[in-house]
Formats: sequence, structure tokens, C-alpha cells
Amino acid sequence: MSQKTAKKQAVVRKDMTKAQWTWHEIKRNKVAYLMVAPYMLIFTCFTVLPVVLSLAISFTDFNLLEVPNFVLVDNYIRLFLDDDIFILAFQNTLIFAAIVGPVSYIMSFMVAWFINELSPKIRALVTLVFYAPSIAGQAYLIWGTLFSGDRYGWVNAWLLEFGIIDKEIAFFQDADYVMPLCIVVALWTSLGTTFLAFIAGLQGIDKAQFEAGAVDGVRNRWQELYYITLPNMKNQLMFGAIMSITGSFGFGGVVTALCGFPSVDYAAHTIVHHLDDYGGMRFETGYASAIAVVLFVIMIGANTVVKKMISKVGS
Amino acid sequence: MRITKVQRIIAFVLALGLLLGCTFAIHAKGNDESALSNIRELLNAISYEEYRNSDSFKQAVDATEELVISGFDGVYTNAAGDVVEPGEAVDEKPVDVAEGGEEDEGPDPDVPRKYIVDGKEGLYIPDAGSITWMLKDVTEAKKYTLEIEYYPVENKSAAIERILLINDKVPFAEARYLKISKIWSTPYQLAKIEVGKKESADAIKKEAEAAGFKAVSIEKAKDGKKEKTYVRCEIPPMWNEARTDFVNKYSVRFFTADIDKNEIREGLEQTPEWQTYTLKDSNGFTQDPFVFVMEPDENGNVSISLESVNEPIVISNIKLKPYKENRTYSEYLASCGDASNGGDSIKIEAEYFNAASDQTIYPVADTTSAANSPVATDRTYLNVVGGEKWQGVGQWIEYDFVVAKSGMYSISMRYKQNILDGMSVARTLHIYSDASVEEGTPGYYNGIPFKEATDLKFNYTDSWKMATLSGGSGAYEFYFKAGVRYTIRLEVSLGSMGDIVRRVQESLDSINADYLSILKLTGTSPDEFRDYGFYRTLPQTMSDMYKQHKEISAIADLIANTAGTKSSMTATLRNVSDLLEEMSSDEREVAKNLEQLKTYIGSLGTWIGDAKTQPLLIDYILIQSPDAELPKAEAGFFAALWHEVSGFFQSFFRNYDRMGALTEDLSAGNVEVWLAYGRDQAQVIRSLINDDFTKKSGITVDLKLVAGGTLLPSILAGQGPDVYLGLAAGDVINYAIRGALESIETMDGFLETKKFFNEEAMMVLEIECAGTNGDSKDHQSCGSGKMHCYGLPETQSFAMMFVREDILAELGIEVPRTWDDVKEAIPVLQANHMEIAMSTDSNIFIYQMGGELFADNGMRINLDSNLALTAFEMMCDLFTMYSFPYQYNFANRFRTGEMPIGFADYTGTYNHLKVFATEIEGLWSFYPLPGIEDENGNINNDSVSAVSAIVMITGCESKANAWKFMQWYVGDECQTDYSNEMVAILGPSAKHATANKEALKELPWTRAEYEQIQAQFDNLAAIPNYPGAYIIGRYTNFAFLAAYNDNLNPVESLLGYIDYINDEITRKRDEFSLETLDKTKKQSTLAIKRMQQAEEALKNAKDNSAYSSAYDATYNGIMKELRDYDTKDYAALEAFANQLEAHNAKLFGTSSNYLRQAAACLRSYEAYN
Repeated sequence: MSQKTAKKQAVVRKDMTKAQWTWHEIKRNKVAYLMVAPYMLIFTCFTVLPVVLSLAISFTDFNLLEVPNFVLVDNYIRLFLDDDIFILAFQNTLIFAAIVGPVSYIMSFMVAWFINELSPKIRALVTLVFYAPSIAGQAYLIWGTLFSGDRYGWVNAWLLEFGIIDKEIAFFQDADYVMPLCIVVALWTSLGTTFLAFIAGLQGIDKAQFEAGAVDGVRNRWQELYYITLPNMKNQLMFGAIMSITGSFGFGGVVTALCGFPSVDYAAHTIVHHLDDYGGMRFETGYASAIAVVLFVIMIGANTVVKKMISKVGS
Repeated sequence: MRITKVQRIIAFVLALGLLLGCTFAIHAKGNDESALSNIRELLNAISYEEYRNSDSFKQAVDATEELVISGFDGVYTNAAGDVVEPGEAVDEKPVDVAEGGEEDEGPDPDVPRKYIVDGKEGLYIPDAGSITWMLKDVTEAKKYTLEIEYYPVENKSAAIERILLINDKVPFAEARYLKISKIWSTPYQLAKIEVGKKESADAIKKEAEAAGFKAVSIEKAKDGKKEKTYVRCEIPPMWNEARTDFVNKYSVRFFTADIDKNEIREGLEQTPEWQTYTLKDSNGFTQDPFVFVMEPDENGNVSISLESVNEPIVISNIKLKPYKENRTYSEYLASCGDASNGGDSIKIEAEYFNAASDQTIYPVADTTSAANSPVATDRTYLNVVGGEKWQGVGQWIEYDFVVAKSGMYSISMRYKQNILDGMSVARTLHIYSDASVEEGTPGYYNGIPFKEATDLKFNYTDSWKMATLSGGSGAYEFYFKAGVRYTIRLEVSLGSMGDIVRRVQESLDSINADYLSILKLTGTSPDEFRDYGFYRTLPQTMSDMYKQHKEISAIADLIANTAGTKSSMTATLRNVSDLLEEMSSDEREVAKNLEQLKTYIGSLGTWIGDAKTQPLLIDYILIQSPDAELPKAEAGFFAALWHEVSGFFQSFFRNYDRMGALTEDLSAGNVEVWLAYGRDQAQVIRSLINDDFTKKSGITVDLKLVAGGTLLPSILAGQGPDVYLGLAAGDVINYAIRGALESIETMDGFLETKKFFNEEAMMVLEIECAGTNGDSKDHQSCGSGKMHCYGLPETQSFAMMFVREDILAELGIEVPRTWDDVKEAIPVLQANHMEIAMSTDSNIFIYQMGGELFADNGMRINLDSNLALTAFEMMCDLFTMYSFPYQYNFANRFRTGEMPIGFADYTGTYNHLKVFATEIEGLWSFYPLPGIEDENGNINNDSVSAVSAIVMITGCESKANAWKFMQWYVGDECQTDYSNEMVAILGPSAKHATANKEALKELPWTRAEYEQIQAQFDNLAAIPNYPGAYIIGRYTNFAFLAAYNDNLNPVESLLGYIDYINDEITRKRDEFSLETLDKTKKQSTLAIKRMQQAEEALKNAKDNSAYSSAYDATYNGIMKELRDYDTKDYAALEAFANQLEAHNAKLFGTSSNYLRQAAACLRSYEAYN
């Protein structure tokens, strides 16, 4: 019996075509495939398929209710050449991502690094304190109360009381304040999963390496950080970076909740909002899909760049 | 800082002068009959407490004899002030509509008349005007209580409200709010007792008959596939032991059940009967009846008047009775003699009450306990009554019963009160005996049996409890005589809390006045560091605050002493008291704490609201011998566990989707209806469908409650419903233009249905062109001028003006009728640090000025017209120049009085204020919007309305059935019933903004409220929906914000956005192949289209026999001008149109019309380009 099996297993790769070989390998690892199947099924249906679909729809004039017509690249032409608001949204998104992405990333890491130095019990508590804003769903709405345009909004009330202003400011309805405020709120909520992953990464480093490093002549904490800590948690760094990038590009809901839709004079109009505008309000799904595709490409691009940068860490 | 004597004297003289001046000024103004005169009178009215302490009250003697005045002696004056003689007597046993066929109009409801019903006669008094009775030859002032024998005529669902005047004066404030209850009862169904396998139907039938049930019969029916036997019987008019035992044994149910045996709530019906009403405090602050002083004038006359506020009433007589204090329990017990204990044990299911005071008191389902009677987890039993439905002072429930053995009985209840944490609720017990017991003998009852019965307490409990009605001396015992029909009535009262709540209410009024007087001096955010010198400037306010501090802390002590513990109730009072002390004892604290005081005023208001609610849920009432044991109130551990577990598993099997469906038979057709409202709304609509629609048409309705936003994806997936309720007008057009909705203008009876609504409500659901499904780009019908309609209006909401009348009266501001009035009021308000709430919507101004938002058939925006720009500027100016606040919480500021005027949605705001700000009840009301006066003095006060509609989805299986449902749903009857039911279930804060003109009249608004709504309803404007309309609000808002934030010129900033708006409209129209103003687009412009149509019409005319060659010259001229349709010479086209009409107006009517339209387009293009 065991001989027979051994014989059967002794198939050689070059004896068969690629397809046959793949099928053979699948059969051999069927348990693994079975295990991964539920997730793959869901992932394909709800992530891969929609991406592919939106790529297809972006070449049509689909309006959700009627049969779409094929319009080639009209949507893209209009998007880049005839849509001022898109250019504005693009610009806003880039500003947003360029500030929030890196800052929140670095902030997450720094905070995680500092917290890691604390004793375990206090660390658990402080972790919770920093992580709380991002788990507590709509906690950012506190900013709405804080900066409410009502005379009784906290900030307005203070400013009025100290005589700095004599008429309340509609912070979230004033083009001058909208963008900076949204960036601050985004940073506040950004200590999320990234931050947790960093803490986990920091904990996972073998203490012996620090001792070895000390022996090998690491002179200060920065060297320790760069040569030992960071290379040891490359995976977490990667994960964190992707989360930050996607997060900062896809940041839209909070802006809508605070500034309304659309934000005043499109001051905080990002690509996600533009997508919402066409997809949700104007029923122009074809065009919205084109926007989505562009956003998708931008994110992929940003991720590739970030990946390259991180691979250089510690080397 | 010393003030010399001279200064003091001067100051005194000045102050005196000012005071006198004010008095004169007030007197000088006193004569004008303004809208605010009533409220002024109200504000100056004394309370009942003060009335009782007045000299005239103390000097009057107690009456000894009873006086009876017949209702017919009254003189009725209508609302216009004319005396109206009573009309013809009409026999009021109403004509049976079902038999009599056509319901005849009936007598005029606005004219008084003789009214004979149940062998008694009375005077019918309409719901407006007032009636006055005269007492002649009165020699001295005497004190009486008043009793009215009345008949609550079947009418709207609201309670009867009256104002009492003695000698043309309201004696005290409480006499303004007399609430006289109507009588409601459940239309119980025949019970259906399922006969088990081991039971015999005949035996059960015999048992039922022996117990005295009527209409007992045996019925065989199919339940699914099995044949089952049922015994049926009618609910008895009163309960006795045998009947309740029978009901308990077989759990006999008198409610309709759906196909899954869930019981369906029956809407309560008005079942009027002659009643006696003793005038007393409707707030429940005092339990005793009011005592009035009848003081004769110089001729020895006393006039007693009842002014109508709401609902008609029939009055047979008014009794003036000497005031007599009720006996105590021990006196009562002594009067019963030494009767032995009674032997019956009657367990009345609380859901089977005989009558109730309000429509809102109806049986509900409770599944929280395994010991509920009855209880089941696989179906819904309406097994309890009360709770939050039975918590308002004066609401009562009645049960009728009869005992078989005379003797002493106790009354116990299984109850639950878990809503008011840590507090007890109170009920007043009334007992009435029937006519067979003589007055004065034991067993005779007529009202509250003894004093203590006004304050029966039920303590807080988080589970069900058994309680016997008892007082300090133990359980109360009642003597009931065998064979006599007794009625027990449990009425919500405040009990001993009444006095406390009254004192807090009075205190709150004072504190509110203090707050406002400080506010007027300092504004809402006073400067902490400034020395306002409150002791000097507002001495009275400061001393009053101290007084209120003392009062409130005394009340808190009182509550703590009676309850024995500190509770959250006293904590609120203590906080307020401490703050008042701090503020009144140190004037520097006043400015610092003003904000805090405002918050506390709000929480004190909430406190009063809470203290006034007295929710109590009861499961059954047990009348048994005082020495009998009480059953356990809760089930044992295992029974309770089993109940929970089985309830959990049942939740997987019960079909909540079809809850309430009465039949599975779909033969007559079925309509699938979706709605995205709340569960309450869905249930009401479901029961209306069962009771009315399905019954009459045979069409079954599959009513599904869906989450908002499900419609679009479902249509996309082809899974949509047939009919959808509550789609906003903008979405109707959005969907229609993409071919997702069926047009309904060709359906049967569309034109009649259309008449249910204002034109404005229909207009927004109409569009000229729309996609037809399948052949998606076919827009043949476009431009023909014929409108397609895609929905029927369901709700129509609009803004009205909410006004704090008390504040306006105090400031001497009349309710504004024009925007100029508003602007005049602004300085006065602002001088008192008050504001006006206004939305940033310029459309109201555009339409009030007679403008339009769109031009050229929706092809461009009309915002760049002079009129619209003026309107927009006017709106912006209110915010920039008059500094209206941009963001605010209206309800909050309205409540504190900071925003005594506000423009807001009428039902939304009304409903909100009704529940949120109960302490300012009666101090505010709403009016039509202010308008713009033209040179002829006409005021245009249009409000822009928003409509939500019921629509038919494309692909609907049976258009005829769906249409029938839609017609029924928006019809008078259904809308009236729906609105009334909503108010019945959710209380007066559930007013529905129906779009149906007739139904609006029947809604439970008070007469005064209704008149205001109708006034605005007649003056509505609507903005038609054109493609791309969504962009307008966005850009006008940007323009407004530019003006508001950066002080830019509103006109310039708006003009900067006009092109963006027009571009978007053009782009959107082009997407739907509609004509645009842009010739480069694929569809031609409207002018070209009109020219083509003119040419077509002309060619047709030429073929007509009426055509003669004399017209050739003109004809050829036009043809030449129209060649290639690129003419821009609108003058020439108009000239041709004139020529054609001169030739033959009839023949060339269409052509000349099109020519003119083309010319009009060209003219506006020129202006546009």
C-alpha cells in the first residue's frame, strides 16, 4: 500500500503539460484549497468581480436603470479634459493623501514606539486610549460639535467669549477652514489598525538582537531603530503603509459627515466624493466607474512606490 | 460709588415717570383687537390658587342649593360674533349608511340645533363660537362647582376643549384648558374557540351559554388542510365570575387574527353616551373640582359661557352644585354597614375594557413574562393594556362587571411600571352603579367612592407585580351588591404629586421670566468680566431668583421626605436650586452661569414632563373577596426559562413579512407594495388595507417594510415591487426619466384622482419627456407639450412661521404678515438679544415675488433674472445685514425664547415641539409665512412645498390593480384614517402632512391650527422638476456661503455660478436627448423643434379643405423663413403668426401657436447668448 502511494507520487514535472501539472498539484493540496475556498469565493465575488465590472462599465453610459450603450473612452476624455471639478478633486485628494498618509503613518509608528517602552499594564491602557477614536465608529462627530457653526459650538463660544471674533464662524461651511480641519480630523482618527500592527511588530522583535546590536556597536536609539527594529518589522511596515495610503485616498465619509455634501465650493471635494456625486446623485454609473478606475490606478501606483521605498529600509 | 440722596430722588422720580408712561402706553394700545390680545390676557391671568386666595372668593358664601340650567337656555354666538338661533331638531339616531344607500349631507355642523339621542335631548354646540347661559336675580356672590351633562358627538378623534368664562371673563388660567373626554371602545369580534380532539363542541357551547354568552354557535372551517371545529361567541357586555372563568379556561379571544393567528389591533371607535363632566383641572394639579364664584352684576345677572376651542359637543344641562368634600375611607366603610365578604372571584382581562377616554388606549402585546394572561411565543396576543398609551392626566379605562353575591370585595391588578425609574404612578378610581341601586343605600356609587381613591399608588417595578388597591390602613374593601352592573373607571391622576408639579411649574415660569429679563440686558453670551450691576438694574429678578431657590429646595425636601430616599428626581431640583442660590447671592456669578441656567430651565421642563406622565401597564383586574389569596405575579424559574427559549426559537419560524395578512387567496389579484417607513406606519397601513381595501376590492396586498434606498438596486435587479410609497418628488422624476416608473395619466379616473390635490402637488410629479423602458432612447412624446404624470402625492410639506406669542406680546410685536413687518421687528428683537430662525432658501422669495426658478421649459435657470437676483439678495441680506444666525438648533432656542420667530416645516417642527417642549405648551402657535406686499396691498405669502409620492414601478404585474391601490391610498378616506390612526398610536406629535385637500380638513388639528394650515395650504408654490435640478441647490448654497463667510456681493457670486448651472442642465438634458439651448448638442434646440412642429401643422392645414389659395403668400413666406430652421428673426415669425391668425384663426391656430413659441424661444436665446 505504501509502496503504491509512493509510486503514484513519483510523478515528474517534465512528464506533463503545465495544466496537468497544476491540476495534479491542486489535487495533492486539496485540503489547502478547500480551506481557502470560502474566502476566495467571497473575495472574488465582492472584490475582484466589482473591480473588473467597473472597468467594463467605465466604457459605457450606464445609468443604473436603462440598458447601457458602449461609448469607448468618452468617459475618460471627459474626465480629464472637460471636468474642472475632477481636476479639483484630484488635486484635493493628492494634497490630502500627501499630508495625511505619511503623517499618520509616521505618527502611528512614533506613538507605537513610545508606547512600547511602557510597562505592559500601562501599555495596554494607553493603547486602548489611542486606538479608541478609530474603533468608536462615528466618534469624529465630536469635531462637528466642537467646530459647530452655531454660536453655541464650543470653539465659536470660546472665541466669542474671548472677544477674538464678533460673529460666529461656520467652520465646516467656510472654504478657508474646511480642508485644514478635515486633515486634522483625519489624522486624529488615523491611529487605527496600522498603529496596532506596529505595536504587535515591536513586541515581536527578539530582545537578543538588541543585545547583539549593542555588542556590535550600536551607539544610540536611532541606530537601533533603523538597523534592528525597522528591518525586523518590515511586514508590519508594509501592511501599515498600504492601510495608510488606501485610507487617505479613500477618505470621504468623514468629510461628508462634517461638511455636508458637497463641501462648500468643493473645498474638500476628493475623488471619492466626485465618484459619489456621479454614481449616487446623478445616476451616471458609467462615468463614476471611470472615476473609480482612475482612483484604483492611483492607489496601485502609490502602493508600488511605497513598497519600493520600504524594501530599502535598513539596507 | 456712593449715591447721594438727591440722586436717589431723581432716580425715583424718573423711574416713576417711566412706569406711568408705560402704563399709559399700554392703555393707549389696549383697545386694538390684535391677534395677541388673547395671549396677553392669558399671561396676565391669575392661577386657580390665586383665585382661591382672592378677596372676592373669600367673601363669597358657600351655596347650599343646587341649580340646574337647561342647555337650551344658552345663547349661541358664532365665531364672527353674530347670535345664531338653534336650527331644526334632527333625530340623531343616524341613518344607517349601509342600508340607506347615499349618505345625506346632514345638518350644518356649524349651526347649533336641538339634538335628541337615547331619549334625552340637548343643545348641539359647534366647534367654534361660544355659548352663554344667564343666571337671573342672583342676590349675592355664591360658590359653586359646575357639572355638565354632555354627549360627545361622533366627530374627529381629538378631545373636546372649551374655555369657561364667567361674566365674560376667564376666572383663572386653568379655566382656559377644559378637556372633556370622548368615549372610545374596541369593536370586538366574535371569539373563535378551537375545539380540541378530546373536547366536545356541544359541551363547550353549553358551557358558554350557561355562562351567559350571546350568539354562541358551532362552526366548521378548514385550517390549512385539516378540518377544524370552532365554537363562536360574542363578548359579553359585562363580566361575572362564570364568564371570566370560561374566558380563562379556553383562552377565548375577541380579536381578529391573521393567517398566522397573530391578533390584529382593532382601531377604537367612538361610542358616545351621555356623560357627566365636573369642571376640574385638566393638568391634574388639583384633584378637587373647581369652585367658582358666581358674582352678580348690577342687574343681578351672572353669565356663564363656554367658548369652543375644539370639537362640537351636545349639552343637556349644567348643574351648579354646592361644593362638598368627599367622605373618607372610614366614613365610607361605616356607610357599608357590616357586610360580610363577597364570594365571587372575577378576573377581567385588561384588554377587554368596555370604554376608554382616548383613541390611544388600545390593547398591546407584551411578551416579557411567562405568566402573562394569556401568553404564547408562536403568535401575538394583545394581552395587556396601557403603558405609554395610558399616561396622560385624565385618560381613563372602564370595566363593567356584576357580582353574584353581595358583600365586600377587594380590587387587585397585575401591573407593571418600569418606565419611570424609581417613581410611583397614581390612578383615581371611580365607581358607578346602575340605576337599580337607590342613592344613599349601600352599593350606590356615582364617581369617586372616597377621598383616598384619588391617589392610588403603583410603585416602580421592573417585573410584573400583583397589587391590591390599598392605602395607609391596608387594602381597601368595596361593597358590591349582587346583580347590579358596576362600572369601575381607572383614571390617570397625579395624586399627591399634583401639588408638587404645580409648584415646580410655577417656579419654572418665574425662572424663565428671570432668564429672559437677564437675557434682554446681556445677550446670550454675557461678558463675564463686565460689571452689569444686576442688583441695581434687575433687583426684582435677583430677589425672585432667591425666592425660587428657596421654593425649589423646599420642594426637593418634600419629595425626599415622602419618598424616603434621594432619587434622580430630586437631584435635578437640587442642581437648579443651588445654581439659583449662587446666582442670586452674588451678582458676579450671574453672567458666568447664564448659559448653565438655560440648560437647567430645559431640564426642569423635562422634569415636569416626566413627573406628569403616569404610565401603567395592566394585564388583568381581579375582583375577589378581601381574604382570598392573590395569584403569583411571575412564573417560576423553569416556566420563565422555557418561555424565553421557545420565544428565541420561534423567532426563526414566525413570518414577520406577512404579519397582519388575513388571507392567502390571491385570486382577485395581488399588489406588492413597499414602504420605507417605521413599523407603526406599516402596521396601520396594513390594517387599513385589511379593513377597507381588500374587503372592498378583493385585491390582496403584499405590504413589505424595506430599508430606505432599497428601491434602486431592486429595480436594477428586476425584483422591484409594483407600488412604492413615499418617494420624494425629485426621485420620482429621476426614476421616471430613466424609464423606471409607469406613467399613470392614462389610467381610469386619473382626472378625478388629480382633483384630490393642489395643482402644486401634482405639478412636481409631471414631466414632458421620459424614457420608455426597453427602447431606451425613444423620446417621441417630447415637446408635444403633453405632460406625463408619474405618481400621486402622498405628503406635501411646507414651511410655516412658528411664533412664541408670549414673547411677542411682551415685546409688543404683532405677528408679522409681510417681510417688511419682519424687518421692523428685527431691531426690537435684537435689542432684546433675540433672533429669528430662517433657512437659506431664496426660492420662497422668488415665488413670493411672482418669479420662477426655471426658464424656457427647464432648459436654463432663471436665477440671472432681475427678480431672482433681488430675491437672492434679499435672502442673503437677512443673514449678512440683519445677522440672522446660519446654524442653530431651532427647537432649543425656541424653547428658551431666544428665537421667538422661526420659519420651519409645519408638521416636523410641530411634532418636535409637542413632545420636546411641553413646558411652553399654549405659548406658541404657527401662522402662514410672511409675504411680499404688492402695490395693490395684496400679500403674496407663498410657501414652497415638497412632495413625496406613491409610484408605480415599471414591470408591475397588473397596472389596473396597482392603480386601484394607489387611488385608494391617496383617497380622502384612507388618508384621514391613516392620519388619525397615527395620532392614535403615537399621540398628538404624530401629525401627518397629507397632500389630500379633503383629508386635511378631517385631521385632528384644532380648529385654530387647521385654519392656519389651510391658509398656507391655499398659498403654495411648487418648483417643477427638470433634469439637472440637483445642481441648483448646490451652487446657490456656494453663492450664499461666499456672501455669508467672505462678505462678497451676493449678486455677483450667484452670477458667477449661473454658467455652471446652465452647463450642467444642458449636459443632463443632452444625456436624455432633450432639446437644449446649445445647438452643438445632438438634440436640436426647442426653437428648432417648435419650428418643425409649426411647419408640420402648416402642411396639415394646407391639406385641409378650409385652406384657400389666398393664404399662399403667407404660407410660402413662412416656409422660406423656416428653411433649415436657422432663422433668428423672431420678429418675423411673430408677424407671420399674426398674419395667419388674421387669415383664419381656427385653421391656423396650432401653427401660429408654435410659431409664437418658437419666436419666444429665439427671443430668450438672444438674451441668454
